[in-house]
Amino acid sequence: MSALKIRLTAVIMDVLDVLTNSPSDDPAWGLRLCEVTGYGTSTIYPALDRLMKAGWITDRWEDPRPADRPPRRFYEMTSTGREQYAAGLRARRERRAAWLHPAPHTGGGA
Amino acid sequence: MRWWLLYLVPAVLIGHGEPGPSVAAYAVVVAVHLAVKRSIAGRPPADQPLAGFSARGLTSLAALLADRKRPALRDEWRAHLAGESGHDPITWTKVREARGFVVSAVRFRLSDAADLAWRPVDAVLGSRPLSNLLAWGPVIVMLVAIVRRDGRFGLVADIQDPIALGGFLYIVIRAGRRRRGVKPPEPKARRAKE
Repeated sequence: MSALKIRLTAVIMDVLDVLTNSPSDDPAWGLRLCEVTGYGTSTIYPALDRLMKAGWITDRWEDPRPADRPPRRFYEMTSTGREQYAAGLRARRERRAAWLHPAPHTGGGA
Repeated sequence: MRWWLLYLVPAVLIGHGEPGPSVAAYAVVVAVHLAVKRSIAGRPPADQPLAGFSARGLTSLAALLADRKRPALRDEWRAHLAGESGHDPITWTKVREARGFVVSAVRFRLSDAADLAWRPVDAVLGSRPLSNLLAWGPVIVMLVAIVRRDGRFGLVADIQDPIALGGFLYIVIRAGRRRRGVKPPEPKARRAKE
């Protein structure tokens, strides 16, 4: 069985940025992710599902459960997610740098 | 949704390709739609029982579509509709969000189906014997067919075909492993002769 590969699309990166910058005492949940990123529900929830499947993020329910409204499902990044995201961003930056500023040719010549 | 596409079809049908009636019909349909939209948006939430019904119905439908593997989504989406305050009124914006839940649920099911479809492919890519069979099987069949048709001399004459096929399959397997993130187990090290 293969580990689910996450491509760093604009949506995925925006979601991960919000999750990375969310304080632990006020974690991100579906509605907030939609509001902050500006994407609709049909984009955010599949992205969250994909990240969960890949093990990049984890979820937990609001505790204690509020009596007067439905409980919220909070999302947080896992340590694996943080490492993979940082590595992905690094690789992306390097690729971009290589394309934009190719190394000068240093081959031997007369 | 590109609403103007919906306008355009009746406009063209009414106008039968003539610009005058088409433009008139287009303008009428746009005006009616905008008027209805404005009247709905202007109403206070209490006057929008249809919105509440639609949002709840769409959320239930989405939860049903999302499958038993994701039971948490029903509560999660209900919390989403309740908003930051927990008691947000149901508006047409919420109905649009509920429509997004249905699209999400359909995407979950498509993703599940795709995962299921990829499973045999992953099994082949993740196993060295199966990958070898996939690469060598067609090549051997081609070699046998050439020998049976043209004899051994034909094999010498047409050797480029099996080589090209083998190379192509090798590239397909390597690309598939890379794309799917599959790593076959390392071959066991041969026992050193004592």
